[in-house]
Amino acid sequence: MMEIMAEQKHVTDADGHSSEPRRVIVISVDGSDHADHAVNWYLEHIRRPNDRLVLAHVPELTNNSYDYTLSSTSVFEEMRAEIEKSAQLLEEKYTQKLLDNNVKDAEFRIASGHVGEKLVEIALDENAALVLTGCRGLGTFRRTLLGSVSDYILHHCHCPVIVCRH
Amino acid sequence: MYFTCIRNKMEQVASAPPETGEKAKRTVVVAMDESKNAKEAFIWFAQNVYLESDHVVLVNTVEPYQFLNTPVWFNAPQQLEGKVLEELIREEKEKITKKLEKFAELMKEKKVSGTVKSMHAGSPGEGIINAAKEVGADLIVTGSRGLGTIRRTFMGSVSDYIMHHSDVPVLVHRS
Repeated sequence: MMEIMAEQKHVTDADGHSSEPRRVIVISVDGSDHADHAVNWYLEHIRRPNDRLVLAHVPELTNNSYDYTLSSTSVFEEMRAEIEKSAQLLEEKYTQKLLDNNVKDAEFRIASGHVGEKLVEIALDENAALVLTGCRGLGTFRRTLLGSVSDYILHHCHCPVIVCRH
Repeated sequence: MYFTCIRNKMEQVASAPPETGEKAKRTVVVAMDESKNAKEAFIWFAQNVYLESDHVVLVNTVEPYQFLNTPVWFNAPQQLEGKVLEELIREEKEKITKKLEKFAELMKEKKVSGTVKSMHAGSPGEGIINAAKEVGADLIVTGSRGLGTIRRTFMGSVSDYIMHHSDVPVLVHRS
């Protein structure tokens, strides 16, 4: 579901002072430690009071070697249910973390499809000022210095990208 | 005849460091060249990430011996090698100084405190990474594309290099 894009506007706080325009920050999360690190880094170094945070999650079918053509629909259903459940847990985990850090304006967005493409789409859609991503995700192969998703985002995003290497 | 390669590090203080006796909390390296891209990356950083407690180092990489790629050098008769070389080196130093002064001006203009640094390295990316290690950077800022004239790729070779070799978060500014 697409939300109506909020225009960047000046926000007045309780004292009636006008502050900076609201920025939308998109952070891609997948349940990995790297994504966690990116969120923590944002909270510690980038965060500003008027930021609107969008945590974007694009789950992917982890078992790529499984051939679905010969399986019954129930197997597929099971996989889907698993993904939904893990996405829900992820949302809960980050909701708690953001609450603990007094983040006032945040949203958890889920999309499905090609991970990199969807993340870039979400950033564009939200008119993000900045995208943060971990350097790698849950990918099992650590052949590369930089994960495929972060790589994709870096090459295709319309706005500045911070890759949280550590 | 062969010359020793001297790591040329000219540091100029761009503007006054923080007045308080506190140590700067973060060190940020900003990859800088004379491209519009690099300038925009720096300005974006100054407006969106920079904190007054940051110590910002603008780093420009100079590839050694580039200044020898001139007809003057190639046409110099054997016995005049020394003098021609001296002149070329002097000119190069002047160019670099002017460049660094421009960067220092930019920092002052955007009210960012820190220094400007010139590095010698085999490639611009290497220079930035070396500088980041030297100053203990907590963040590296770079544009996505610099002075390179060939636009075959979505992202320049320098930002690509930095991305793959950095141990600390990298901010890639895309315009």
